[in-house]
Amino acid sequence: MSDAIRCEGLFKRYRKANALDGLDLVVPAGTICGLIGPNGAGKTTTMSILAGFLAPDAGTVDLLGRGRFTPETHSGRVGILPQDAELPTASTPRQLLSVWARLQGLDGPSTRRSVDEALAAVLLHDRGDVRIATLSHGMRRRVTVASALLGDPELVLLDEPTSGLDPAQARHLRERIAAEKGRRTVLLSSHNLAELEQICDWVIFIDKGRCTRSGAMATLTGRDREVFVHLAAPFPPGRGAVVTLKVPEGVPPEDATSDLLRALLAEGARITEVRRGESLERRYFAEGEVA
Amino acid sequence: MRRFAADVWWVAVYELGEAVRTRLFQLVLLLYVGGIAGSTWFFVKLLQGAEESAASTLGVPGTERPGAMMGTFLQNAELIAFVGRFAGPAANVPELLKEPLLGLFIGMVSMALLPAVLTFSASGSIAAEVKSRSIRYLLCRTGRLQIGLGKLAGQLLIALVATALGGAVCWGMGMTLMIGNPPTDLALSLLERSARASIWALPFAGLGLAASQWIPSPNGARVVAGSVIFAMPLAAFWLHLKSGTDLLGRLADLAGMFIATTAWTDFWSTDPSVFAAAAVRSVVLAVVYYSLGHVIFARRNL
Repeated sequence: MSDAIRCEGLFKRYRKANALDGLDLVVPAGTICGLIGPNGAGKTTTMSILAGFLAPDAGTVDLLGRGRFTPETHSGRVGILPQDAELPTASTPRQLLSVWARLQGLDGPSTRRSVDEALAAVLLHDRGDVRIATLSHGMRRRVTVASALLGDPELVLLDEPTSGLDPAQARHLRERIAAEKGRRTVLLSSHNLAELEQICDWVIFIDKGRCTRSGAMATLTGRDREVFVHLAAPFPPGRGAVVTLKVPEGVPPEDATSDLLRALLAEGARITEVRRGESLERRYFAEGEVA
Repeated sequence: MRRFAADVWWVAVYELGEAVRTRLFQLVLLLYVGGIAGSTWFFVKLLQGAEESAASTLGVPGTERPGAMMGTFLQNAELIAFVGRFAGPAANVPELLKEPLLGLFIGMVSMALLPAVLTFSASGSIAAEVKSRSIRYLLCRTGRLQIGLGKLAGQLLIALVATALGGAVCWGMGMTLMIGNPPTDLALSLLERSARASIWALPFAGLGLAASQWIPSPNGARVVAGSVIFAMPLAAFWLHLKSGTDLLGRLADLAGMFIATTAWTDFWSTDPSVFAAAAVRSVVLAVVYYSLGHVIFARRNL
C-alpha cells in the first residue's frame, strides 16, 4: 500500500510553545484516517501544515508523492476543509463552489456537475441558491464540507468536519465519509472517538506535537485479534463473566469467534454480548494517550 | 501560463461577485453613482443659469432645457482656460472640446471619485479574508500571486462596473435634462472617459491591496491606504518644487514617476501615444504598489 501522506520530523513553534515537536506521520493511500489527540496536541497545526496554510519550521511533508502542498501541484487533487475559516456570506453556495471549482481547473460542464454532486452529498441541493448569510451554522459547515469534496480529489483533509452539526447531519456526514473508503484517502481530525471508530480504518494518536501511536484501527482496538464474550450468571464451570479469546495468527477472526461461541453454547453458557476488540475510547485512555 | 491567467481571471470574477453582493460596497457604489448624478445635475443647472443669463442679456426667451448655446460657450476663453488647467497642454484643449462638455466634466468627476471607491474596496479585500480566514478556501486552490493579481484585476472590473453605472445615469440625465447632446457622441465620450478613469484609478487599487496585505484588519488597512492617498498630492507637489536639472532635481523627477497622481494630465491627452504610455505606467504602478504588500503576503502564515 503506498502512502498518501508522509511527514518526517515536523517542527512548528508559536512564540514560546512547540506546537509540533518532531512529528512523524504516515497515512496509507485509500484509508479513512483519524487524527486523534487532546486540545493543544497539534492536530490543527498538522492539518494547516499539510494544507499549506502554515510553513513548518523544520521537517518534510509529502502529499500524494508530489512533495509538500502547493496549489500548482495539488490543486484539484487535495480537498481541504479548514477548521475555523468563515465562508464569505454575500454569495450563494453555488456561486462560491462554482468559482472554487473553476480554480481547481474544472471546465464549465464539470463544474456544474461537481457542484451539484457536492451540494447533494451534504444535503444542500435545495439551498444552493440562497445567500450564505441566511444559512444556519450547521448548513454553512456543510457548504465547507462540500467545498472539500469538489472535483473528486484523491486526498481529503477534514479538520473537525462534524463540529457544529446536529446529530442527524453529523450521522449523514459520517456515512458519507465512510462511503469514501477505498475510493480516496481521507484524513480527519476529531475529538469524537466513537465517531472516528465508526468511520476510520487507520488511526494516528498525537500528543504534545508528536505521534504517540499509529496503525490500522482493527489492530489498535484489537478487533482483528481479540474477542470478548460476556456471559450471564450462572457461568459454566471454569468460566467467568467475560471470556477472552486471542485469535491466533493466520486464523480468520470470524472462524475463531464461531468456534468459541459453539463451544460456549455447548457448555450451556448464556451469552449477553460478543465484542471484537476494545472500543477506541477505552484503548485511548487505557494506554495513557491523554495526559 | 494559461492556467495562471485562468486563475487570475476566476479570482477577479470572485472579487467582483463578492464586492457587488456586499451591502457596504453597494452603499459605496451608490454614493459614487449618486456623485455622478449630482455632478450631472450641477452641470445642467450651471449651464441653465449661464444660458438664462445670456438670454436675458440678449433679450431673447430662454429654452426650457439647457444646451442650445453650447456651441457659443465652447468659444469662451474662460472655459478654454479652465479645461486647459486640468487637461494639460493647451494643444489638447481644442481637440478635447470636440467631445460633449458633459462627457468631459463627468470624466473629471470620475477620475476624482473612483480612486476613493477603489481604495475603499481594495484595502478591505485581502484583510477581511485573512481576518475571517476565508482566504484559505482560495489558498488551497491557487497560488498567492494569482490571488493577489486576480484581486487587482477584480478591482479593475469593479471600476468598470462603477463607471458603466455612472455613465449610464449621466447619459440618461443628459438626454432628458439637456438638448444639443448627440446621443452617440455623448455615449462614446462617456465610454472613453470611463475607461480612462478606470485605468487611472488602478494604482489606487494596488495601493489599497498593499495595505490590505500588510494589515490584517479591513478598517486599519483602509485608514492607512486613505492616508497615503491623501499624502500623495502633497508629495507630488513637494517633488515638483524640488524638480530641476541637478542630481536632486532629477531624483525628484524620478520619484515623481512613482506617484500615481502625477499622471492626471496624461490621462487627458488627445495624443494616443501619450495616453498609452500613461495607461502602461498606471498598470505598472498598480503592480508595483501591490508588490509592496505581496512581499508580506507571500510569506505570511495564513
